[in-house]
Amino acid sequence: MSMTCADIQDRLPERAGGGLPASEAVEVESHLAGCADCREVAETLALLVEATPRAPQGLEARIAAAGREALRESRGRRTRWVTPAWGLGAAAVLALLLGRTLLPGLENGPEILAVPAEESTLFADDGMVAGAPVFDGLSDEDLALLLEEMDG
Amino acid sequence: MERARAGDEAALNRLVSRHHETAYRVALGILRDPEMAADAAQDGFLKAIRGLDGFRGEARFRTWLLTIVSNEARGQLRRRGRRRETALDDVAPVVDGRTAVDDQVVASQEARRARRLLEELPEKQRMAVQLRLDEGLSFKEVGEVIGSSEGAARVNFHHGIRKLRERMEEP
Repeated sequence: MSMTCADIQDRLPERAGGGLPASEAVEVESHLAGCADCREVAETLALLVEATPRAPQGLEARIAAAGREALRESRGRRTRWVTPAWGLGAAAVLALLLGRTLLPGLENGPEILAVPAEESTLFADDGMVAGAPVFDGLSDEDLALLLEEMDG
Repeated sequence: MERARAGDEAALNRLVSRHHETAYRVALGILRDPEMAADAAQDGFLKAIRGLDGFRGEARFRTWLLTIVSNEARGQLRRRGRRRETALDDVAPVVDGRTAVDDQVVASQEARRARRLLEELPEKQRMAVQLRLDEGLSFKEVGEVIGSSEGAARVNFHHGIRKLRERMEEP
């Protein structure tokens, strides 16, 4: 069944943006050749596309920087152990020495339990690290879930 | 941990890269002021990032983000009292962040007039046209952003285009 004018006009935004599927393009162009009303709609949409507003230069970087700051703030509110690398080693040595001194009969030394994970407090402002995963192929929904899971 | 953080921020950068233009245009349509629109786009994005735990429904991320940006822009409009009375066309047109005096490619006068007349349409008609044409949203997604059914979004789109054509034929 051939498309009506309403069907054609529904597809004109895709045509104006160059995204009309090839399977529909032939019928749409054929219809436009013989329908002045739909042709005028197509011309109006083309004018609008010609003057599409663009975001000012720098807005992307500005939003990304603000977003990274928001992520860092939310991480800072989470409760976690943070032990500088040098402190971890010193603590382990101290515990071992105390155990051997105070408890000479303890042959194996004190068991060190629940050592907090080492966490660096340094990160690059651009968020890029060699070997970091690339997310070009992920959908928006996957990216959003990834952000939420890493932040929660 | 460093890779997790890098992945976190890489994911954020990817989302911003994909959608900052859309967020800006939606805000601009409501506020008609480039600076206010940039602020609203940023604030809307930040609200979306902070509220990601609320994003687990059926809507696409882009639709959800644009709903937040729209609400943020309307909130700014209410707080500031009124939108600019002068149309964007009254200032030097901006293309890719540069003014017309810097850029060789500037939209024709007729195209700019069409955009100016589009701004004057009732909000739902204007947003239906902008979201379909500029952002490629389906009618169903347009309805989600403007708060109507898919059918009503389609009607708003067609009525908006018809009214725009009538206005363009006026002297």
